[in-house]
Amino acid sequence: MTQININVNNQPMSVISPISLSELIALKQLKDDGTAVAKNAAIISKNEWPTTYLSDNDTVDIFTLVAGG
Amino acid sequence: MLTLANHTFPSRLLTGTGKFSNPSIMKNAVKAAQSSIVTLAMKRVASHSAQDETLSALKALGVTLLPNTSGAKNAKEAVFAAELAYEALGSPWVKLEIHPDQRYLLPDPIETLLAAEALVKKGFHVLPYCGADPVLCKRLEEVGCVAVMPLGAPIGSNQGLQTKPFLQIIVEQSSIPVIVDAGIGKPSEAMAAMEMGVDAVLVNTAIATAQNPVAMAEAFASAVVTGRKAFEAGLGATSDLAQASSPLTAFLEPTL
Repeated sequence: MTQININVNNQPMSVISPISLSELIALKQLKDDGTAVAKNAAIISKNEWPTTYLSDNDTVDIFTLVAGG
Repeated sequence: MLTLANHTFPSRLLTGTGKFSNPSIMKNAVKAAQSSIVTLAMKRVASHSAQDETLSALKALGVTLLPNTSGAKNAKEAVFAAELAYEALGSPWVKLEIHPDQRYLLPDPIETLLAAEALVKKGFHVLPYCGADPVLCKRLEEVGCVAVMPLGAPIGSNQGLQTKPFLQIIVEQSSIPVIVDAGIGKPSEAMAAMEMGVDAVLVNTAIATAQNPVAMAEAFASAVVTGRKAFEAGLGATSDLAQASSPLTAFLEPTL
């Protein structure tokens, strides 16, 4: 168990490694449905979240659908 | 019935979900509008509290969700936004919008065409928001868009059909559905667009910012139905001179 520093939606965040994208989404209490994630600017499909692990200095962007015209 | 990419939709009124004072009013307005297709936007969100209830409210209505690429400033960003929306919803529908200028939010025609072509190749059903430019609309049709969405006036301006003569040319020339997006501020303007023969209209601000959004949504719904009925009935010809509606007999004139 080591602490790593990642960047989530332009905010620094410290997490305990190993941590998968699924675990990060759960930690953020976000719903899977209607959520999309990019790691280091590459979109990661939902079925790959459980096996995609984060490394030190990774950038994660989490998007969701909101009201809009 | 509106047909897009071999799918049929009962309503010709698309509704946007922005600017409503809360998700419950939005949901009731969409229901009152009887819309089959509803737009959404993508946003970075970092916590559960920031995740709004729009999506769950819309899923309960069973409408087709049309995510937009608002916020994209060029083709590359728009393609990325569309792919994110696909991951989030698992649906190929996308309203392509690229407006780098914040003051008038006018769509960038070159980036829009580039993004449309790329997204069609990736298998998206692309509905591009674009200027009321008949040549651009034909180019968007040629690259495989399922509809074009020319503007009536700047987004959210409620100025109505400022581009009417150009919309008429687009309707005349287009082989794919024409959906007037942006600027429609009153039901009478939605009706006027439908009377011209556009296939559908997209309304957001005019409903969301009305004093009573639900009643306004109903008003737009009936205006769109009436306008379409008038178009299908075939409008009578206009003329510069009077054309008598009654027989011009001389029986009221004094006999000589």
